[in-house]
Amino acid sequence: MNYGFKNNFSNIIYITVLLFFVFVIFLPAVYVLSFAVGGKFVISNELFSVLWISFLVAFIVTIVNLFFGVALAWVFAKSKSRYKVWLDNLIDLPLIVPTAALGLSVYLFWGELWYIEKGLILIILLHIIFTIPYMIRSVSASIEQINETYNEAGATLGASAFTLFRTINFPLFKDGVVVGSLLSFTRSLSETGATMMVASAVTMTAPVFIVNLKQDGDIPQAAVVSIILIMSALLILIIAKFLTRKKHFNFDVVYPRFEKSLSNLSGLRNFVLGTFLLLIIIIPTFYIIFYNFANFNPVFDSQIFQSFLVSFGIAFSVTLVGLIFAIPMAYFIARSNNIKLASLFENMHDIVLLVPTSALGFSLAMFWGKLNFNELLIIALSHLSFTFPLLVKPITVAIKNVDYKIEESALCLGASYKKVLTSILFPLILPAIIAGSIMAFMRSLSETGATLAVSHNVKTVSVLIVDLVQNGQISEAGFICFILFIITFVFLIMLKKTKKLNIEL
Amino acid sequence: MPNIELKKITKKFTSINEVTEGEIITAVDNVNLKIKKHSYNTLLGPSGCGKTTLLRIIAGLENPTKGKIFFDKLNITDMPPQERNVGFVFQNYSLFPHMDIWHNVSYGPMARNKFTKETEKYIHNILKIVKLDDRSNAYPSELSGGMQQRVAVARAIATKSPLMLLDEPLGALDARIGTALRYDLMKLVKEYKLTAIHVTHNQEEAMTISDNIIMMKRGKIIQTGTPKEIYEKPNSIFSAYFLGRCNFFRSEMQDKNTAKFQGTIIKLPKTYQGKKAVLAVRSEKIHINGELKKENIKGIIEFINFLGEKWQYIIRLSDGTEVSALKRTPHKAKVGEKVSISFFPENILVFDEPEDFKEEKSV
Repeated sequence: MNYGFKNNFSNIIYITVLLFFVFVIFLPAVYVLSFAVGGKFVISNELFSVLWISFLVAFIVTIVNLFFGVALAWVFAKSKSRYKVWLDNLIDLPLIVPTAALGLSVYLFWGELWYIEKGLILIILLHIIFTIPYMIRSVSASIEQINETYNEAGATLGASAFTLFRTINFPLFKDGVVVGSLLSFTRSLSETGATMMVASAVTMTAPVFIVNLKQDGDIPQAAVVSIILIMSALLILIIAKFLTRKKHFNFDVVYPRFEKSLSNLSGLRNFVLGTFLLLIIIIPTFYIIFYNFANFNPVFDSQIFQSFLVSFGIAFSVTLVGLIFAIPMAYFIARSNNIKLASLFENMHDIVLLVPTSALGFSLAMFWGKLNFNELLIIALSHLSFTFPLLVKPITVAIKNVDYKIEESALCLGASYKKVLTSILFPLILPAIIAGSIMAFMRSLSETGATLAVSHNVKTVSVLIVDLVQNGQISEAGFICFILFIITFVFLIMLKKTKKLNIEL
Repeated sequence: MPNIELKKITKKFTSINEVTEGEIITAVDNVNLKIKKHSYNTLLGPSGCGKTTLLRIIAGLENPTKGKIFFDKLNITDMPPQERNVGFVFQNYSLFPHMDIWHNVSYGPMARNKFTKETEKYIHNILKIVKLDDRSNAYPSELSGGMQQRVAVARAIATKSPLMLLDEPLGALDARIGTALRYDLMKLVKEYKLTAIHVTHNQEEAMTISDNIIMMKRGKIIQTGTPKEIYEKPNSIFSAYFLGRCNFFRSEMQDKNTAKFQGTIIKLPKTYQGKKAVLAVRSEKIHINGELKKENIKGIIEFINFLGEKWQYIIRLSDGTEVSALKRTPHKAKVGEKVSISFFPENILVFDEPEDFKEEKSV
């Protein structure tokens, strides 16, 4: 791609942005890894059992997602019903609901209503809820890529519905399954805020352990746990990349009668999936709203106002600062002639997304703490770290989708390069910018783990919720969660409106 | 080997397009059709005429809104495609990208669990005939368009279905390759004694390989017959225009045997009742006369196109009508010269003047 000019000005912008990313986002995020070198790397028994539980939960959750998530994705992608749009929104909700609120809701539903004790089962039930949307999204995106005529060809050749699924569709969407599994596993490994609500004093996951250690002041152990979590996430990423390589699948045997009879079980399948969706995902997620109406305890004291102010302030400033750097970064990744460098930075963004948030927060606290930064600033910087990739990714995709030929024709028509950017590119990527901003904003609002790992005195809303729950003030916490739900819902509507904008453009 | 019969087949779609949402589109309109076994049939028509929809209904990939389909007197209207035993060749071949050629071609017998040693030999034979037996381990992405098309056909034949349905199989290929492959298709169908229904919008393709052409427009069948029958006796302006080049002269009748066009008297081959008529003459039957005889139709040569084996003269008449004349040897007239044209009565086709001539002629 010939820019037509190699101006020093654009190079300066790129270098600034790239340096910003490396020193403000990436290095602080992985700083904790430096403890592995020369530091004491001891794994206590307690740590070992905590790690074991983390991995066990992630594993079980991924297996459950494999069966139910893939099945749900299949039914969803193939569905031609009018209610598909509603289902679409419903699947995203557990991802958008603030993590602490989700954890509390699940605890109140399964724990208080069904008397399931805090511990392994409760953690698993919770983790399924916020990981399965990743599986469903990833798999249904892959399924939608499959050319429908493959199924038609298979049908004319005599294959029953299940045979089509097994021999034609599954090999073609298996990469989506791998990515979905990767996301489920790592998301489960790294989640902090919600798990805090359902973990017991004895049974907890590693990220929760990090928070406890940090609150006890045990830095070396917290560092060790963080390192192990980050390295595990990286390892799984590598395994996933390896698994998505195989593209050839030749089938030699089909059992027509058996597979046809399986095809006829679709009614039963839909019933089971519907029950699962309702009972395991939707009701526990929304339960807190009902709880709140049943135990209405509205509190409006200054502490709460302050928390909301802090949360919104951080979310807003982080999104704004992030955007300033994210847009040129996205342009660099999408349009750079240096493909190796661009994909290196793209991978670095993926790594930041994979780092468990409490480990991230811990790492950041270590990094910026050395510079004696103000606590609020450190919280803001940690939020900047995990929201930055959320801004860069959709904008990169949007820029990649804009055919460079459009920019070229504008240049040929005599527009200056600056004019091309502002009058051609910017309007076309504006929906992605808005969508990315909303996602970053909501993520910052709802994040718990990193903030807990960093804060001592400053209380964002999620930290406040955790505090209230730990003090036994459940109904007050419930009320705050309810407010967060409403705010989230409003943002979700705005997000959907920008998606419509995208289609119209 | 089924004789296929379609009775009153109608297919309506509800539009989900944002602009025309809710509108009902009739893709196939009350089609009645009989297909003889072992024949090569072409569904010919312009884009959007419903030919592909009709083909898909026969295959079972779409359900008709109304009507019935019979294979050898058996009503198969509600039968799913898996059970109809038809071989379908898709426009983009639809070869399974994750399987090699061998497994693509043997998918049909394998999916029905009818893969025996004999089947293995049979498939080897088919691959040999389509000249791809040395590429059976290759994957579709490694093959050219022409090769993929042959694999798609082989895959349909491997199922031993007596009926082969082809949806614009040559549409995605270079003209040269398509022209060569159409003969291979016809030979394969004859060799395996199949019945073929082939959808195309290319009239030259239809004329060269069909035993029987079924012409469609806007969901209806306009005419069926052999290529020669339709070419020599088109039943409508559409049929005359779509199959072969044709010139139209919108004339007024003088009496039952004569018409008048731009002052020229034209004798008709037989009597015609009516005040107005459209006279159709094929391009190759137009004679160009240099002398401007008073009684002939006059015009000016607008273009002369050298097409290799023939010359095409585009002549603009004084009322704006464009006439295309084809000649084997060039005429001495040049571009811009005034010429007159004439034709013999036996080469005139006579049609009623339609309400909307442009629409009737449109493809």
